[in-house]
Amino acid sequence: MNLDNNLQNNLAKMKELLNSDDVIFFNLKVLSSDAVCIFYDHLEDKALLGKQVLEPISLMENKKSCKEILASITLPEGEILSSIEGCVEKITFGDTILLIDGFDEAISVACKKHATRTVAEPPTSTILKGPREGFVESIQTNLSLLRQRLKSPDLIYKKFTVGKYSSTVVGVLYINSIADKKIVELVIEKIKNINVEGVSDSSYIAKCITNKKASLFKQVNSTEKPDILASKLLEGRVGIIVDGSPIVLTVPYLLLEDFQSSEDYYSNTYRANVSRFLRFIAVIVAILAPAFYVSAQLFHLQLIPLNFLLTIVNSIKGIPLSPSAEMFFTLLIFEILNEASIRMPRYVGIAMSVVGALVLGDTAVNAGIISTPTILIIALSGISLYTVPDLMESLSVLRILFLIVAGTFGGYGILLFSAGLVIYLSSLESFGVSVTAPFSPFILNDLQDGFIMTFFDDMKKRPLTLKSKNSVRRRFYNVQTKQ
Amino acid sequence: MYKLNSRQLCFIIITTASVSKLFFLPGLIAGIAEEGLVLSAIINYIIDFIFLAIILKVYKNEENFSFYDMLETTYGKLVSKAIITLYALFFVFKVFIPMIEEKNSIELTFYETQPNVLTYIPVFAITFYVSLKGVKSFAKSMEIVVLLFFAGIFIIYLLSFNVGDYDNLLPFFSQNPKSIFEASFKTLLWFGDPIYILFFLNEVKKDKNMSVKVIWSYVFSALIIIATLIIFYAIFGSIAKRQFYAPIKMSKYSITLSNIGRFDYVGTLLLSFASIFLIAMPLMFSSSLLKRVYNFKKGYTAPLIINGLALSLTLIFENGFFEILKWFQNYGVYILIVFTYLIPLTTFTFYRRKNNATQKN
Repeated sequence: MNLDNNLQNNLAKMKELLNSDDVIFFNLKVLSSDAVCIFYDHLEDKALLGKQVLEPISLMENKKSCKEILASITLPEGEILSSIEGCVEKITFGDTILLIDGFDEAISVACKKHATRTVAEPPTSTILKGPREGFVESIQTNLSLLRQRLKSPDLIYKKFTVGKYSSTVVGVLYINSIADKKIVELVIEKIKNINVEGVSDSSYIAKCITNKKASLFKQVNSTEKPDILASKLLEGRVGIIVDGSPIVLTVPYLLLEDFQSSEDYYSNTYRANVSRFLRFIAVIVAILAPAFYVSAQLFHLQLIPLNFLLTIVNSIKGIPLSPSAEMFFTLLIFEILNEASIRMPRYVGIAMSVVGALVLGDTAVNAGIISTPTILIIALSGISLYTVPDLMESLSVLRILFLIVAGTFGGYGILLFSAGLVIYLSSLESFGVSVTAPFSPFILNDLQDGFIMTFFDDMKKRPLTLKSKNSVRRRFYNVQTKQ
Repeated sequence: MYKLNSRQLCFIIITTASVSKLFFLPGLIAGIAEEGLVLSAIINYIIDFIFLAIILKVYKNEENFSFYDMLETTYGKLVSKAIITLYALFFVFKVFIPMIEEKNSIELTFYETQPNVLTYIPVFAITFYVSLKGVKSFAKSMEIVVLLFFAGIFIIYLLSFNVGDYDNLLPFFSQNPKSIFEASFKTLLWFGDPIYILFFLNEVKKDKNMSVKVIWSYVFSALIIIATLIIFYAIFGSIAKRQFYAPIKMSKYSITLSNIGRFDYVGTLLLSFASIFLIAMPLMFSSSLLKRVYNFKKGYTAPLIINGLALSLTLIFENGFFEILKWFQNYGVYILIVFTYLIPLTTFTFYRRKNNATQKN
């Protein structure tokens, strides 16, 4: 529907489409003609509107065209619109529309007001050394945080709108001279094809752009920190930033990424390697310790060293539950405590810890319902799980599956399930890249930042797994000056 | 279509060609050849190396190597379809020994007390999954499995190499040549790996140095087995013939175990893990051959038929393992010779003749 010269006609059509009490129709005179400013009450910075838009217009003397009026406005984002739908869309995005009688066009200016929290350290990725800034819910703030770190015109931001009702702004970020064009195009195509009613968080986008929807493992990585996003973009990955979400997505995803922490690169390389090794061991302990304990008790008691076996036998004497039922029961308590501790108000947390650790744990052991080795194993497994927090969701499910298999088929079941897992993971891809790289497919260069991390100086090439346009990070290193 | 790279093929060769000979073969070969067990193994390796060299020569000469096309060109569509179907059955037959070996080694390691059905069904569930996923996933998985295999064999060697008395192997050439050749013949079933390489070459990206890489991988795998045989006989000497499932027996006498516990189980476990992929490989080939011939609409039909057949045969015959093993050694070996060596060699010869005749015309 096109706008016409009559203000009242245009206004009637607009009111029909914007039938909401928080839409402001502000009547005023512009160049001695009737005019109306239309905007959503809470989205607009009214002081900015008055100062930068209405004041310059009021100073104009002769009747001019919309183009000339727009030129007099001292705001950078402005546009001339000729359709009713275009005007409505702009208003829903937080812009102000100025309709003037006698003009068949409208002027749109962006003087939005963003309610956003301040930049703070994200609770999901706290570190001892390194930048503490975290993303917030405003896409503008997040982009500014990234641009502060990557001051290059090569950093490209492509904007899209997703969601029938939410019209959420989704941006694709990449470094033009590094990122693989095919991956960028694939990401853009997938985002364009998303058909949802609303996008509450970036995780909706992650679910929409993955190939294997029912996969236990994620195929899109995420970060809450601009320094991590900048590093990932420099490696050749593509970022997906969503308005209203502090979590920025990155693709392609490699399983190895979850074992890498930003702190590894900021601290001593030797310590970083120890930490990585510990994370790897912790993951194995987290998913396999309960399963091995149950299978050993049920099927292979002979495998346990004698002294350890005697300790276990003393502890499990009189326990009414079977080993697998006991382990499941303890795991259930742990998962309930875990779930409750995440959702409960913070001030109840201390009471919860007392109830969980002392009342449930200690009393259950004293009452002879569960044994101390079981509690020890679940506690060890539970703590180990959080050494790789980004994999926690998948690993906690795997732990349960391994436990079921161990209780049913014993140690050989664990072996077979592991084989199935290896095949499953080897066939899993994220945007054309195998998630198990650089181990499968084996890429020697990328092992420099694998389970063992080489020195920063030696990482001269970007990960070859990501097929970046320019694989060389730097051709030479700064010449060292004699001290 | 996904094509394997030469590195993936090498990893597959190293792992599967080694793990297939680790469990039952050392005891069996020692039982007949005694001190000459290494010579018996070398004879079989020589046969395999000659055959492998022929395969690689043909591969090098053909721009687009495809054994299926060769069969079709040589024998016509109908006969080639029949041969491919027979190969699908042959690969099911090849699974029986590694499957029973795996089952028994697990019983020995874990003291598994479960009914056999409960052991076999999950194994075939995994092999079905591998067959379903196809060669791409298998090749990628093997890049991880090879690391675990190396870790396993390293643990076994570490715990066993200093336990044996290497004088047991002497005098090296004292054995009657007849028993050495008999041992070679009766253990031929565990060899013949080039047939897998032949089928993998259909799925590999053409590589200039492919032949060298494949040969070295097979040499490496042969060295692993020869080293295992030497350590095995050094430990057990004349009682070696009673020691089946070598890795489990070899490592348990290490003094280290009394201090740190049965660490050897980790090694055995890793080898058993690699063995699952050894069982899956022929079934994967078998399924893909069946799919190729009968063009099933659903992707899971061929894997279901093949794995179902393999499971049924294993369940039917597993109680008479030693009787069947004897049959395999006496008669089954001829089936192996036909499918592993004769059919490919005659196909190569006739194909070449036909090609030459076509070029002359």
